[in-house]
Amino acid sequence: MAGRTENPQIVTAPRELAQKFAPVTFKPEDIAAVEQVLERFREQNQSMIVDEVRRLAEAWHEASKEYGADLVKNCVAIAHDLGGYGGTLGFPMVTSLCRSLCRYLRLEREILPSACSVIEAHVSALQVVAAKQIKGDGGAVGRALSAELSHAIEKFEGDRARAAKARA
Amino acid sequence: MNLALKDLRVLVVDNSPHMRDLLRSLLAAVGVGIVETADDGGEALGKFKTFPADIILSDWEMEPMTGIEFVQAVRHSVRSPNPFVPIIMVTSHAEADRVFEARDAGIHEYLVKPITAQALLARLSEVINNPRDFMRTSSYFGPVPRRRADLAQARAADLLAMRARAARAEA
Repeated sequence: MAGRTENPQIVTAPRELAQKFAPVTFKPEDIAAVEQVLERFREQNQSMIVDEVRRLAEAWHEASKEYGADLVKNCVAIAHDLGGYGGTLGFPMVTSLCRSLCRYLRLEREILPSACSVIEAHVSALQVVAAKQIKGDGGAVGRALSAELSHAIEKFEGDRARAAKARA
Repeated sequence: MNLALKDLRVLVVDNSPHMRDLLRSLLAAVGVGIVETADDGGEALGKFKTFPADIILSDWEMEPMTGIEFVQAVRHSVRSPNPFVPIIMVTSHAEADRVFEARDAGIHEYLVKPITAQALLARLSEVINNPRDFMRTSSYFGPVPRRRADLAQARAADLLAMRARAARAEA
């Protein structure tokens, strides 16, 4: 944080919020009420993961033709939001897969075609998770998916490191 | 339901209608009575002018105005209705550099999706129960970073202890 080494001016912030509402304490029944809403959200939106993964796969199919900036940006937006929903809907693997996928989708345009296989490995893994409705860590299927994906990532990162070394 | 929060006004900013609805329902479940929503930073700035939010929950990735741009506008714009309003960033970005970027923009709290009951309620009670003073430098305006706040508190405690010792010595 630039500027924090200089002498900062401390400004007293208004205290209305604390004066009106503090101390607020959330009891176990408040936590239970929130959990209930989350559970209802999961029940009502079970098809969302399937729909959004399909949308992501279609968006990537279009983006991978020319790697146009807007099309790739659309993939990032879908994957990013899907990552947010995933865990909330009970699919933590969707969250971790989407986080990893976004890292590769955000690569520079020149590198992106070489990352195609690793991106497609993520999309395929997401399709399996959505089709099989894999919740939690996914057990044996989840481990197999993670191993397959790790292999694709290692290969890509290895190729990338070798290419960088060759350029140097 | 916490009746004490029925007058609390919260502005929820998220590009996803599902997430906006979810956050609205979660807040209602703990008794928050007044929730307004916006689907990007620009709309949120407009709403904030007529809706005096006590707390803002904002996503990061939104278009055309992102959550970070929104936080900066709230903190720095001369037209901001309340540059001190507590802002909780609710986002899927879990990387440390993102957390620092959000902190540098002037947020109070950071909540990584997926949302859990404990995490959400902890952030809400933190901003309500523990108001923080603000700090201004040439490049930052926002809540005093927690470590600095802790330091200030520790210094105040030291000062009180010193005064107490001096009073005892005089007596």
